[in-house]
Amino acid sequence: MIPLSHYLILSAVLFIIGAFGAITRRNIVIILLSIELMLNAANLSFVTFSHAWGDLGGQVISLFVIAIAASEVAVGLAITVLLFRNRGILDPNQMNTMKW
Amino acid sequence: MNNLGLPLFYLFSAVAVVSSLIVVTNRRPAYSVLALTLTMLALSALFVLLEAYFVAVIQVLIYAGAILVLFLFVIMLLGMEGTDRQINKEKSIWNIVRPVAQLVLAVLLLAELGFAIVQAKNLPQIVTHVAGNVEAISETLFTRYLLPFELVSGILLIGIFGVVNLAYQEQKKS
Repeated sequence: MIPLSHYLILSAVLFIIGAFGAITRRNIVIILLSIELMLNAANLSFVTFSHAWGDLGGQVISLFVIAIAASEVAVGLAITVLLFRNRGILDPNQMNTMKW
Repeated sequence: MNNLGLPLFYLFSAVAVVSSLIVVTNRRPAYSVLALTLTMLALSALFVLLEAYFVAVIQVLIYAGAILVLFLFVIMLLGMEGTDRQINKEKSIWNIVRPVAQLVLAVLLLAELGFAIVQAKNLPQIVTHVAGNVEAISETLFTRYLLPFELVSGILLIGIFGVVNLAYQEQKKS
């Protein structure tokens, strides 16, 4: 029997790795990937608690998280493609104008 | 299954942690995306261990199959290989400050992780069993979570509007 704390510690480790990547990397694609990693760590927590408490609500919420992540990635990558084509930048530090 | 569960958990969690470290540290975005695919597959195996079968299948289909392929498409479309190194050649004070700040951030996050691990010792054991197969998930989704389900469809619609709007502006300009 796998203890509950094992899953939660793994989820915390993945979330922290994703947070570190999202804060320190300067390529917007890598930042989006790190955000995906953090969302997945949260998903693992949801499913773990759903399993532990015998309530399927956590698994349903993790499906919602996946749907939101899909739409977020679609919009984010569209913005990335436009920024790279029009201005040739990938560094979020250089994205400092609202309109050009 | 019971005595095989713990070794399988350690195997898949080791794969997940190592590949997510590759995601964050690798210089080439394409390798990062492939490592994230490996993380997703390991996580879906962990979902199977948690008896969340439907979520595991959706994880493979949507994340590994759709989202990460979208990432790969964008990376290959843009040809952004090597743009990281070009940025690093600029000379500024930030080149000295940045590694120090990263180190401080890493220490802070690791301290937080240690706190979480210490706190996790007090948690109760898993007592109940619930199988997340399609039937049970759909019953919960369409009764208790019907309104959030409809709202998610609205969010997906707004996402479509946003992406089509961005693509249309691009077309109009060129």
